[in-house]
Amino acid sequence: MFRRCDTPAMRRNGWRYLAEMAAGLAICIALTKLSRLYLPGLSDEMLRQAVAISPMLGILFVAVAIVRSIRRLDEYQRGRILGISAAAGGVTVLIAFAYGLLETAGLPHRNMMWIWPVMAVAWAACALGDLWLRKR
Amino acid sequence: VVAQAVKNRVRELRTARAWTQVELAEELGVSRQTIHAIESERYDPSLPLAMTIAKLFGKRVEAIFGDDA
Repeated sequence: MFRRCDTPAMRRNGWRYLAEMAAGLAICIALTKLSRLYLPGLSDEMLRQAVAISPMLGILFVAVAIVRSIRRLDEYQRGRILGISAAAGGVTVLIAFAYGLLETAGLPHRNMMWIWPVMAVAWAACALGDLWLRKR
Repeated sequence: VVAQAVKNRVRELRTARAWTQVELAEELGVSRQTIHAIESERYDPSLPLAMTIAKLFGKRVEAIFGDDA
């Protein structure tokens, strides 16, 4: 999966990232299912909130996996990731503001969770743009 | 925007030792992409990395990087 032409250390880093990310997502999915299962039967408000927010533990694992993977990158790769992330953040902000203004003209109101897929697509597009710029 | 990088002799020094980009990357603890970017003069390494490269090849930094290299 990771390109055979890179160094063993870089390939190891890639696999480590995937393992940590998969663990985080698995925790998140498991806690979400448990939360959905037990939440309807709980009456105590504090306990309900604690159970409802419990999948965030998995999200925290995912965030740690991302930070750890970036820390393992070398200076050139970090620079590229920073550039791509900054561009993707900018594109997402532009899209979010543009849609927010269009809502005032009658477009349907969207849940704020829509921002994540928008950001993911923007990140992928910026990564492809970065690749194209470097291959020119 | 991809900035114009300074000239360097990394490819020349590497091939003179019959090393692959992967071997040089391993020696320096960086990715092969980074070596490729430096050799194609699309990326200027940081001073610490440039000094590590110079030390590995047994040369001064200015003998590897810069217009006079």
